[in-house]
Amino acid sequence: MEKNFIVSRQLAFMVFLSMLGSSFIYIPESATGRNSWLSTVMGAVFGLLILHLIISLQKMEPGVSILQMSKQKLGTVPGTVINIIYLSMLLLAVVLSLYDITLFMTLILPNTQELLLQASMFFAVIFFSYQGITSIGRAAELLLLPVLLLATLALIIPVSNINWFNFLPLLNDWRPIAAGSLISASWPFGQMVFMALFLPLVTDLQNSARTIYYWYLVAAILSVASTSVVIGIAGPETVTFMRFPFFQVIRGIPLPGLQRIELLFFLLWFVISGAVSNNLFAALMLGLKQSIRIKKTTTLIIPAALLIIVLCNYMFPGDIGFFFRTTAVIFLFLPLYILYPAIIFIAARWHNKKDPKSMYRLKG
Amino acid sequence: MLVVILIYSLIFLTIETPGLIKNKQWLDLGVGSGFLLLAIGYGLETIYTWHLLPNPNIILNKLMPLTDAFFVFFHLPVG
Repeated sequence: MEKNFIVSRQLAFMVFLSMLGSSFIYIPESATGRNSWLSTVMGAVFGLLILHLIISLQKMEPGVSILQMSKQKLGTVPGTVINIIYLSMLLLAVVLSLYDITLFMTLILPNTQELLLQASMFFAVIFFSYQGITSIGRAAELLLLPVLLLATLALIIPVSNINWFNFLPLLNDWRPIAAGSLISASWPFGQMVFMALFLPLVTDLQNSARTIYYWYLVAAILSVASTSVVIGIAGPETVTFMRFPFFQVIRGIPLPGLQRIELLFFLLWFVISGAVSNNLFAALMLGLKQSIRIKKTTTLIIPAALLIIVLCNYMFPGDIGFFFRTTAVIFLFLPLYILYPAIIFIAARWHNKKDPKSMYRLKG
Repeated sequence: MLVVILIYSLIFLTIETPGLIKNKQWLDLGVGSGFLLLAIGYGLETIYTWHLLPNPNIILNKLMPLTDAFFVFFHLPVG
């Protein structure tokens, strides 16, 4: 993976596609009932804070990876320890997203074996990884417009079927809202912390970081809209039994002449689900390359891909166990999302105050 | 699973290994092979359930009581 520079716009589109992939396919906070859309808003705010934190951190040390920063600012041993935790959580995130996407794709391709789907999808991921981050960024640029159009259409078509009374009463119980906020903060919004690995490769971050924020907000708005559509159409009780609520709601929309309406949006589902795996896997490869200091990332791509497929089958032989374990990961992911960038940020600020040379770097 | 492991291993051995050996990139070869062996190990574990390798689910399983408490405290439906 030697072609490794992107611009802010490309990273913004990667973030957008990734966010959409996570939130359109699986809406974990929808299990919290009629006020799930509020939980999505809260989760989006959390993700925005994480995004701001990692971008601020990167602006302090341009071109330096967050993994290198943690070792420089915290010390080699503590930095290495938290880097290992960070990369382990990233590996877990890739495995979880792969299993989730596999389950989802079996709805569209029900006669295809799950292992075959995983192996096939990861061939595409491997191909993109071999091409380099620049190619992934360019692909995101090309795919953005069709995905945005299809996503908007997927949100507009069901609007006439919304029962607005499903949203009432508002704020009747704070507990499900709080739970949904934690769940959505853990997945998908908090995964912004893994995008930190791409930031050193962004050539114009100092001047154009706003683009990343804008497209994150667009993704967040579409996520809130999809949660709202799901609650409005399916209702708060029914949605708790839906595995992939947005897809299942779309499938239930009656349109004359269209028996399988979800196939109209096949490109949308395929691209956004692929984007999640692709971006997380690319981040993992970058992280491993920086940690292990190997010369070529391509060495790791195929073995790591196989390891992820195998772990996916080993850890989650069934759907029920997956559901409960994905709730358990909140207690792993959330502390990581908050503490990892925050600790490094605080250490970096403290170091910069002590070190006069880095004061000049701060001023840019 | 065996077929997938075989295909991926063959691709790695065909595409990456000759170049690494030729350029004497022993660290890269060692790391790549290590990941591949780990993948093969877990793959065989999945097929034959030997329980020789550490189960990555241990941490998640230990968090299950916390998950149950989370569902109860926040009045969430289970399942």
